[in-house]
Amino acid sequence: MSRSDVPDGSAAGRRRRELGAVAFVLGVAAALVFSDGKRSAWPFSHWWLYHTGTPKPLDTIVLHQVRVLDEAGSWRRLWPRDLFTLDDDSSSQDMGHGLLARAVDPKNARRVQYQRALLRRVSRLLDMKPKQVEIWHLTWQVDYTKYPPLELENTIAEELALVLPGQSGEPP
Amino acid sequence: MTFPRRLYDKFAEWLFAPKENAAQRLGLARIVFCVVYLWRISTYRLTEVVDLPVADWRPPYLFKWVPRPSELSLSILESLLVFALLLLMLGYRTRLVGFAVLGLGVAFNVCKLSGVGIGLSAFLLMFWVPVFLVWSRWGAAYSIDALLNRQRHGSRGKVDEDTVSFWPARGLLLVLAILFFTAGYSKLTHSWSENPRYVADLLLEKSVASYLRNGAPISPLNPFIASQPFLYVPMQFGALLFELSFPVVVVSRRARWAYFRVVPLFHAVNMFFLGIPVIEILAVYAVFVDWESVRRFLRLDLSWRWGTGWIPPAVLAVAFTSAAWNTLPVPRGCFNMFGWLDHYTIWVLVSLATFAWWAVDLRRWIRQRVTARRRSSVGTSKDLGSRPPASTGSEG
Repeated sequence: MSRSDVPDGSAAGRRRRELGAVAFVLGVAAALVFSDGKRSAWPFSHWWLYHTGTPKPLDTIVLHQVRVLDEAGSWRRLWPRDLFTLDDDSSSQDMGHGLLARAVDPKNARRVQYQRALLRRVSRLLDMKPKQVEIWHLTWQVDYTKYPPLELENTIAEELALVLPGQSGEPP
Repeated sequence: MTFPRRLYDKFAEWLFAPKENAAQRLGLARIVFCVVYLWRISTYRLTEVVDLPVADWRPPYLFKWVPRPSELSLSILESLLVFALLLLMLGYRTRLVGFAVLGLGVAFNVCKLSGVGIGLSAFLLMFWVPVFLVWSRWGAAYSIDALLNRQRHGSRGKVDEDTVSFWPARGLLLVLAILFFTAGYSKLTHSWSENPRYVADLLLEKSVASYLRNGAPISPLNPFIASQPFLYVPMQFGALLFELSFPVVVVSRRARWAYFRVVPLFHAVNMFFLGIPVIEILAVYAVFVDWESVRRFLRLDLSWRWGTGWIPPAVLAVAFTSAAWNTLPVPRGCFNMFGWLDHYTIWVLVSLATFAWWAVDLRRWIRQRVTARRRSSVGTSKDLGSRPPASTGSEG
């Protein structure tokens, strides 16, 4: 067996380093194998991805959209994914969706906090104080036999869910 | 010899087996790792975390004790991480800076996850790669450390490169194999084995959801694939088999050869058909690419002949770039090509590079065959002559 690539030194020292490396690799591997695998065990989480549930291709699909009235009187439209960059590595980009969903949810006792957070986020993102911010529910018909299965411009319903008067963007 | 002892020896033999060009491979892998890392964090704004309500600060279980930092602290954390990564890329005080990259990267990722929710992609880049490679001597080649070492010790500094161990990369390979197996096993024990249309329906549903949520283009082939069992069933069970069998790369050189030529396309398919990016995994695969061979193939000369006078200005430039990370658009823009290099375009580039890799392999294989045939024909014509057969060299 050749272990000549272990850094040089005395035989005992080399042996100690070798043992240390083996213990480290096996320890880390054991921590990963015997962790419960849940995301809460991060960074020793397993790759439990797309393994449960039943995907359902829906006939209609709903998404929030933020519409911002700027100081010049023109409207800007933002998709939930435009609000944050930190979740760019995911396919679902839940950060913006979560914020908007909690801001409009009438059952959420803390929705005012999320509404303030949205105002602050929009102000910082667009670098201006908006005169008004609106959250809309947009609905599309999806036809999987066509390409593309939906067109962003052709919604079947647009419903105003929330109107927020512009503020200075108080910290939430 | 006892069984545990034999097991230990076998494992140690695998772990410490010498690797050709280990110093150069790891040196170039270090640079690629830093470039991928800097590209990745150039698209994130960590300070976004403070725009969420405080109640949304949810660190992972092991980091529950971490309070939500201020905006200034997050900004400083980003700059320090950039500073450490740029130094690591240059290979300056590599061991120390490597640990700094690990610590700052984990802190960055914890802050990110505490706001976004726990994802299973960024930790490959920010935790798993550095947690192993900090133990390697990835600064022994293509680094300021190597340059200074050679300057101090002359030719003795060069010898150092030949004693570089590859065991940290093999440890990372073991973790990658475990992660792939857990991915396959969880699918096998849940919906994938019960529902043969899982992938077909996922192709339809997920592609539209990803289009709306992360902007990934919808593949026009999805409806066709989802309507043809001879396509979607092999896709589903092929993916399952691929993930479950991935651990063979640990023990088989041939499997490693084959799997690493396929796995980039496995992820590219996930991106093109489902809109699932998982780009951070590129940093893991980059550790196993023989960059030294790539460098030789491309005839890139990376030897440094201009002394060491440039080091202090370079470190100053690194400090300036890190300080400007959150104030000027240029430093970030340089690493993400001003927005052009995103989670879609990178997989297009990786797919093209993988096909080029296959083409190079094919060319090499054809050349070997042609050479072998020529040799055998030359040997046959000599045999037909009056001269005695050539020596086999066994005497020598």
